[in-house]
Amino acid sequence: MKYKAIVIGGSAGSFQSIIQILSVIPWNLPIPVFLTLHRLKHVREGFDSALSIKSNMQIHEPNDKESIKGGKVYLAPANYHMYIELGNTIVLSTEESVNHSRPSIDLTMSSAAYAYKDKILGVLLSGANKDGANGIKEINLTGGKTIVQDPDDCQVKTMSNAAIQASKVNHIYKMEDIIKAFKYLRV
Amino acid sequence: MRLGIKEIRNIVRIIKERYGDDFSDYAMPPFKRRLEQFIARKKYNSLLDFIEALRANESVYKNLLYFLAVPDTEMFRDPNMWIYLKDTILPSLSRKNSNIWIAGSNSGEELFSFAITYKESDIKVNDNILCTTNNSKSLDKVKSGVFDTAIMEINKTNYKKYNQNGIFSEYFENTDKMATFNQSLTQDFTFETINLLEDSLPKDIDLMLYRNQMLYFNRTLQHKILENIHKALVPGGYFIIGSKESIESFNIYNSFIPIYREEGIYKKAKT
Repeated sequence: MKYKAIVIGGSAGSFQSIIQILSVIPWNLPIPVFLTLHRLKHVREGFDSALSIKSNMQIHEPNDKESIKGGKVYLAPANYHMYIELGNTIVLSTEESVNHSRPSIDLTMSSAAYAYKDKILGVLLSGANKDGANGIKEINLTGGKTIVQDPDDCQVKTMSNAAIQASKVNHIYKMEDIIKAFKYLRV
Repeated sequence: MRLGIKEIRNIVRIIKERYGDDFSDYAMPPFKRRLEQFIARKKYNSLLDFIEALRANESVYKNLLYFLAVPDTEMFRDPNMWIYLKDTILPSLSRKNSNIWIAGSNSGEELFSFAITYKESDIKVNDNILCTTNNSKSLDKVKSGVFDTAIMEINKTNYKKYNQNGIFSEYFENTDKMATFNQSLTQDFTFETINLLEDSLPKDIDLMLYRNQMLYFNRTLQHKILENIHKALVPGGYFIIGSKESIESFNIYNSFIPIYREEGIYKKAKT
């Protein structure tokens, strides 16, 4: 198996892209997808259903210590960090914000890199701060694959630029190519 | 510094041998991250240097304990929980002197949110209110009621959602980048350090606030602590955890009743 999991991070200007990705991901994808998005901290309800409208996969905000299953999208809950623990378990945390963000993309990606080693695909989309750059770096270091949205294709390019500067990413794609990559994804 | 599993286990073993505390059932990702951060911030040259210092110097261990105790996020986190506490739970307790235990506050936001809610609920009986942490440095921080003004904006926004007619600013004074909360809010409270795994826990608890603290334990440790908490509560006593914590898959859950699940509010069953 090429991948055991996919992690997607996004912030300002990524919402429509996420919707597009979720609409092309095969419904029978056998692996989990972790979605860490900067979202309104104090709006707990409704975001998962907004994302679900065009999604083929079930979108779910996990509870702490929930077992991870293939074919599900795990959306980091508002105001919690979401880590992946060895042994396929979600760990939530209320630790300090990282890059002014809780959930932090860096924390989800770094823990996923540690848990899945080279069997992970990390995708970073448009955003207004440098969260995610370290996470993408960790995935590169453990041998996973990384795709970063082309800064020129982003509504807000800060996040992509930071990731591209922090480490050597595998692919810098425009959104249309990211969509293709998900449409024809082989795991 | 990146710690591997073997290195983390070694540190856990050393702490247990030297200081008696057992971290082997802590949830790994946050524990690993905080250890790495602690070692990096204290500028040890190598892992060996850190381990030497940890063994030799109890103050290093005390600082580590403090650093591992995750601070509260913000005051009045999840305003609906505080509304329910004020409007429903506290009035239901007010017929007698109750035992209230705040165990989910490592930096004070949760405790002072409780203290304000308690004051605003206008209860006129002498409840026993106990505030505990697992280490003395956190307890000092919680007691102080001093917060960085940088975080006061979000505290105020949350407070307004909980009580839009209240005047938050009357509870603290601003001095030089710090907001100091009135000591009168907590002057009758009792402060102690307590390890929830030990046998001699408080008894006859009518209300326990323990939000987002079990996140840092694995399921084995969560279950042990839940059993201890169950013993500490009176039948019908309230137990409040974080909105994304879940106790439903544990055997002992049969002895709890969900009251307001979205806000983590449970009661100990009466039989």
